[in-house]
Amino acid sequence: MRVKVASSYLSRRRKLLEPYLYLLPGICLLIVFMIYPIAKGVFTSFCHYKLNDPNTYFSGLHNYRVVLSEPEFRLVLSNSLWWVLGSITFQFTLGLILAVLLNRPFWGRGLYQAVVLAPWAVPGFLIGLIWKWLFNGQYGVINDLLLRLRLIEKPISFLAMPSTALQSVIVANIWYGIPFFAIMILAALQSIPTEIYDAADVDGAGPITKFFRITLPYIRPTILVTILLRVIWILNYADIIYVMTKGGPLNSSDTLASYIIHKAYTVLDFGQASALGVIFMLILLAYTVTYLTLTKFSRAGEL
Amino acid sequence: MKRHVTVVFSLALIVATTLFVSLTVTAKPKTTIEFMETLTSPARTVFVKELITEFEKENPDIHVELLSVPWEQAHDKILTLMAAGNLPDVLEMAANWVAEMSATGKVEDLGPYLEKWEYKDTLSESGLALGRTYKNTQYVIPQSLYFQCMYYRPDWLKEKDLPVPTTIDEFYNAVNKVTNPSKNRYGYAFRGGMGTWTHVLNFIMAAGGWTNYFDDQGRAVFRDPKAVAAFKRFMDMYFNNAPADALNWGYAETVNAFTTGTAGFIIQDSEVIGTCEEAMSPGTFAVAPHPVAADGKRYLVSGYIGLSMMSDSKNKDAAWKFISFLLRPDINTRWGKATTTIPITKAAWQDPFFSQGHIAAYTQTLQDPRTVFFMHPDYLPEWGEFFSRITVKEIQSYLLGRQDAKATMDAISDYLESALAKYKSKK
Repeated sequence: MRVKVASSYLSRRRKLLEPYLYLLPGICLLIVFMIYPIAKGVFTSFCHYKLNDPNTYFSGLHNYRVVLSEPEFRLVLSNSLWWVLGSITFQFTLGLILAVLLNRPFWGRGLYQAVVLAPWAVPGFLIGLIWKWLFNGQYGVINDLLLRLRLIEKPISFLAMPSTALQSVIVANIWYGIPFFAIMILAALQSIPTEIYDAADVDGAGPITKFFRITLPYIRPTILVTILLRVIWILNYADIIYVMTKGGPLNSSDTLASYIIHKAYTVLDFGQASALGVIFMLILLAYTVTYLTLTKFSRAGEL
Repeated sequence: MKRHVTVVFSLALIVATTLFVSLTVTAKPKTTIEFMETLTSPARTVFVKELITEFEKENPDIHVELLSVPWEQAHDKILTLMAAGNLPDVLEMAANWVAEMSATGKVEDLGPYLEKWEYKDTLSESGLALGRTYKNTQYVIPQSLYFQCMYYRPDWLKEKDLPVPTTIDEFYNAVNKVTNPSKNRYGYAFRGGMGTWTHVLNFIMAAGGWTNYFDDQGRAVFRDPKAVAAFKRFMDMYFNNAPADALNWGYAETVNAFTTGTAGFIIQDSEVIGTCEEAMSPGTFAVAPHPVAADGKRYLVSGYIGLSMMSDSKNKDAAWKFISFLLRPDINTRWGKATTTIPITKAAWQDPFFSQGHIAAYTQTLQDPRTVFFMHPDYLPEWGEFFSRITVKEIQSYLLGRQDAKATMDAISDYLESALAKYKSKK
């Protein structure tokens, strides 16, 4: 009798523990690849840690004070904002139009689709190089076109002027990101049952009504998720900037992400770079929470 | 199942015994040292591998493992390895790294080794002195010297009936004359981005006849009105003789501008000869010594690539054997030929390779009594940041019209002076 009680107790405990045992490998991976690096980064941000200085010591909030008081920080912050807003607005709008167009059958659609979606498959570094040449101030195709159209008299050094450098990298990024929205939205469009459109036809709805009353509500969850993801990706994304301008001239095309790379690997100040990283993380966190609350994300799946 | 285990086990046993036997039979185990090459190019790496094979033939008990790190990443890579405590035994050290790397205490003093070396008198004393600027200790032995000469387009000069410039005034004049933006021809391959400082510096130092960044009181010479004027005159080339894109140009872009016929002049190190020979047809480029200043002298900043031993090395004798092998007159001369750089071995300078052809301009510069060499204060721990960030930022601000020449020179001087004061207070 006694034995039986003990064994049932044991099996109950085992039952309670069981799910956690299954989760253990995953948790271990999370600790090694996420929690530890983040904790280490946060810790470094409170340290004087310069690669070319052998003395590393705890320095409190010093890094944060320095980083926040630098005039570059405000510039980089507003650059990041424009970088995200400019990129996402055009990427989304153009991607949506592209998806809607690609959703109707027409001759050669498969081929056309493959060509239009190609930029997404090209590595960021290559895109940076291509656009760097397009924007070249002497031989660039864009300057050549503008000259031939007689829109300008003298070639413009797009990447060397603080007033145009950021816009130029944004243009490159828009080109790169359109296919992502197109693919995601296209997939969502194709999942809309056609009967609903047929029903709408019977009711006499026009194409605009159909788009706003049927199409848009159906793809709303996809749009919300893709925009959320893309904003975070674009903020984190520095390849194109790094290749095209290295953030220059005078940080005029630096975003937070490329500025952190610069701090860590040119200035070699890992303490300040980490402090910037923590600030960056907090901004992203605030953004995500706000976005999810504003869009009432938990209900996004309901129609 | 059980049989499998037995088979595997006995196999392992056999392998282990044979390994053990063969190890004990073949006399001494090999010593392995790691050598990190930092100024890499495919051709250079092939050459370095060749030398390693020769070295291993001469020293059968030493095996050299070659690590090739591209130049752009080398500096940061070494510092990262340093932080991780995982350094190679021998590495190629650049002049502007010595101070910051030696300050960590991980670099071995090569003075005592050099003292005992049979070939020590074959090396140029002024070359060796360049490797002792940090704490007067031989942390590095320069292997090849770098300084700048002037590359020009003889065909462009001929069109305008201009002589090859020998003075700074003639140089600016020629740069102005050959500029013709409508034909996409610019006078000078202006470098406004990373590394911009090395180019204007020679002209500034020449204006005041300085050989040091600082005067006796620790004040930077760049505040001097002569320095400001020289800076302004050099920077005028950006506004008058270079495309606007040059604001962001670095090494590759400027060399490219010269080889593709966008720019008529470039002032650069000797390894550019190879690039020009590859990309340009004969007769479209030539090399001459750097133009001289009003006082008849030319002021050139000198750098070098050298060899350093890491003090964590477990095989210091083998490491020194390898370093001294590379510095031997015959090997060092070959090194210079293969990389078109000026070797530190004195005998090499008489070699026809270095006294003829394009590189002769460099040998001439070296032997010309009017040449004055000076060094960057790269012993300052802030040097890396100064060179790669501060100077670029200040000079670009000037080129964009955000501050005047005096403010630019003052900002650069402020930074240098405070770095020097910090360095002195620590010492």
